[in-house]
Amino acid sequence: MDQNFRRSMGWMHTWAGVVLGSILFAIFWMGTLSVFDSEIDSWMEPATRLPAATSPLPLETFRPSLNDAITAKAAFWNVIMPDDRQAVVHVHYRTRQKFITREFDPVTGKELPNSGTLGATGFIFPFHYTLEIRLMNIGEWVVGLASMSMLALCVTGIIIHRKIFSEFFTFRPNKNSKRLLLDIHNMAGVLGLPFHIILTFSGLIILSATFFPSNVKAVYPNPRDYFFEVNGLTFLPIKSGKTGAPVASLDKAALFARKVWAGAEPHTILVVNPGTTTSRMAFFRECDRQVVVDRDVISFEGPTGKYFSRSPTPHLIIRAERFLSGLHLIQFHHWALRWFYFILGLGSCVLIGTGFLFWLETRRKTQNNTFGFRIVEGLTSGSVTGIIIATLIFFVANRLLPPDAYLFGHDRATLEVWSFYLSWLATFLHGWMRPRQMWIEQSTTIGVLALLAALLNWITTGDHPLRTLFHRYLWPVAGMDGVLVVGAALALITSMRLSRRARLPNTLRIPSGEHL
Amino acid sequence: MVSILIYMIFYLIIFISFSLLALTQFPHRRATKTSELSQNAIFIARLLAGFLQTSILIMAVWHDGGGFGFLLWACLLSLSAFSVSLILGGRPNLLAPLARQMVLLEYSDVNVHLNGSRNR
Repeated sequence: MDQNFRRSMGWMHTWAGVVLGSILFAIFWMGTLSVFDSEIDSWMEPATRLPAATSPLPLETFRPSLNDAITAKAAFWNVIMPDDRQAVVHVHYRTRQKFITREFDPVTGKELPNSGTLGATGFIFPFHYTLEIRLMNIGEWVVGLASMSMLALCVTGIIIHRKIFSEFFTFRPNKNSKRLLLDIHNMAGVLGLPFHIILTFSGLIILSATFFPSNVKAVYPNPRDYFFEVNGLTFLPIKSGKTGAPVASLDKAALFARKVWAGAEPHTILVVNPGTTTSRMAFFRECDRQVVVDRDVISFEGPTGKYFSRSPTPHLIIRAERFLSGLHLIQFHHWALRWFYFILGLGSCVLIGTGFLFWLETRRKTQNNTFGFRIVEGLTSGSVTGIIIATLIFFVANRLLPPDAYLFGHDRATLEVWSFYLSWLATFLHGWMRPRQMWIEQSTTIGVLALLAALLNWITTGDHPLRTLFHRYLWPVAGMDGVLVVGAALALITSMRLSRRARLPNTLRIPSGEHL
Repeated sequence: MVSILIYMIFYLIIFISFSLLALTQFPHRRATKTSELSQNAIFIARLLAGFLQTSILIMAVWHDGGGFGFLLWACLLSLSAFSVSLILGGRPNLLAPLARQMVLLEYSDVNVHLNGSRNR
């Protein structure tokens, strides 16, 4: 291969990685956590840790909240039924002022106390694709740019890897730190390549309407039609009706939907424009036994309960889009695959983190005191270990803040988010102020915080490891605590090794396994 | 529970297939302290590895359906390859028995040759 071409690709790989690596790490870290978003929710909202119901509650149980939504002139009201990942019933509706979420016991139908947290589904998952920058969709655009650069990084990485086949399985833990970092980077990159490419590409496809609106406009005269077709919402009324109309029996409509689906249960029940003459009820069939997010929707006229429509068979391209989004969003219930996604997601984080570290290690001797080097060094600490610390602070704050916490006009959920951002900022500052000690201190902090989070869960809820392991409905909590403890152990071991290495004088620093 | 057992078997078979691939390379054979293989034996080992991986793809699709089966297989490929690299890097001795068994491929190669000679 032409050396100039390879050099150009190397340049691009290096600088795209250094410039966008921080954003990529944040996207992949939050995406990896989102794999278990419902389970993290269960950990962060102890009131929702309930045994699963043996039979679903009648939908009319939630009529009072529907009436509340009608009174508040909500644009929609929906119920998400429990499944094997979330035991409670979620009710949402949007009023003119805000988005309201209420949770109900799946057995008694009693409303649960407000958890006072956004949890993983309310903060970690949206952060994954918006970076919580909602102004003019800037966050989504930045994520798109980073995703495109990730694809470019994957391709350029293959081009610049001179011995991709001969070093396919090469990992030399006893070599010097530079060699070791490059081996880990190559290993995580090459062996996890299908995962990196498929997940990045499918993520781009999900947000394609934002990035390539002209494609949608070319096919659909009104972009709303595309949105409706992709999401199975073709039943939506265009005009708003007069208020004062009732909403027909939800249970009767559900019975009809079950008959059409040969016994399959609805997972989501949506009422659009509740209490108006043009309201519609829609039942979304559960589709967690397949990769494709198949939106089979049966809709009814809201005031009369008369059958209105069933979503048409999607076009082949829409079906392909749904397969790719299903593959990315993992709404299916397949525990083995969910864990594999989690482990491979961590592999992607390792890939990005070691890329940063390798850049630093190759320039440490020659550029150690330059401004640029110090900037990237601090950026790396904040982006890699910093976001992990911020996430752990988010968990610890969740366990420590009192239920009615309120400070400077911010409620408990907002305070948790602020604790995340402030601690994240602190890690960047720490990285710039203490470059020699930052990896040791931040690794120790991760270890301590992860242990503290697991311990606080036990103290504040009484759900200790023995209890969580022996009750099926507490397994998500056991899993979360287990990952925290394993993560703590790894971080503390890393910190100990780094501090032992730092204590050795330079002359004695011989890589283990090598002889004088 | 049965599914977990089946996935573990899938993982193990793909792990063996990647080990076969890795152990056709000289640096890894040196790490396991075994002799280098002939070109024919290398070809047979790689063919066997390809066959094992394809069979697991078919079995995963049969067990979990098209979508899940393919995803499961793709994830297992990456995880098994990671495991092989980690073992070869940290504890190559663990793969030494397999590396020694691969020498049998040399003998099978010789047998084929001998049989061929006899037929001639």
